[in-house]
Amino acid sequence: MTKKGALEKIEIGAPLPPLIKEPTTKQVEGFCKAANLGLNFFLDSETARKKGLPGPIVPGDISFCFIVQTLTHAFPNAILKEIKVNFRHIVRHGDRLTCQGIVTEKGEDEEGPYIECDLFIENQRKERTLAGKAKLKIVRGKE
Amino acid sequence: MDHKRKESARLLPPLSRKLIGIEFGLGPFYIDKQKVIGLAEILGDPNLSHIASGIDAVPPYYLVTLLSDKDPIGDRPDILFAGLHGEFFAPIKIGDTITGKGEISDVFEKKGRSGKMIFVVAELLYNNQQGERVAKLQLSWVRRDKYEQGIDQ
Repeated sequence: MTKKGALEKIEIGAPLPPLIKEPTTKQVEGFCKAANLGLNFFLDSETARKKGLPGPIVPGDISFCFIVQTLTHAFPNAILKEIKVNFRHIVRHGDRLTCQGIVTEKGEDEEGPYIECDLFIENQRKERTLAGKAKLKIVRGKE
Repeated sequence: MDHKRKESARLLPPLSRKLIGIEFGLGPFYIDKQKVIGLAEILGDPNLSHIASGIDAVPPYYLVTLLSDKDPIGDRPDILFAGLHGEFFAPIKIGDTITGKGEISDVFEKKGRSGKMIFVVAELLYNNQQGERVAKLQLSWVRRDKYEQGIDQ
């Protein structure tokens, strides 16, 4: 399928398949190690409480990773060109996160076919913990 | 307010507009396949098989592991990560060596529903070993100014 053919198949308003994530303490620990994040309030209850937090929190970086995974899972034949996210609520270890998005625009620019999406993550209390937007370039159709 | 907590918060240097323009180095970071796969495994990436099957472009989220230990803001315990704006110009590939530079670009106050907040913004530019610009990140952090320290102009 051509790039244009792939773009035609994407509908504005179409939701992205949601990804459900429940970040565990083990995941936070692994991420902090991989990213050299030395802040104790991501893992230590006492440090988190001293900071005025209800307990250890999940780094915003992990929420960013989850929303990018949502995009790359939905559009494996596209390349992420731009993304903007805001972290609106803290995420606690074990929160149940629904990572989702919706196609808001499609078209062609000097680099070829592209799509734009609105993105958001909600926790189990229906609080929006992340909101954002992304632009992806379609590089090939699905074989 | 807890007196001890208030005092310990005051021990931190105030977030100042004097931070604007401070530069810091990024990397060099060697992009190791096992580390990329390891992170994808830790984070339960649904595209893991795709990544492990030999594709040499790393997932774009891997960039957030390539921050600097010289960043004067990111390790402060009194602030939280507020937002991220990323632009990707060329794929980062397994075997690449990524370097770059960061700069504090803004420090400003904003009044929200819960009171005054202080934002710090940094711009990070990343290049590969050929000197090709691969990405630009703009990171912002926020501190609720509950101690009314304000910004040192």
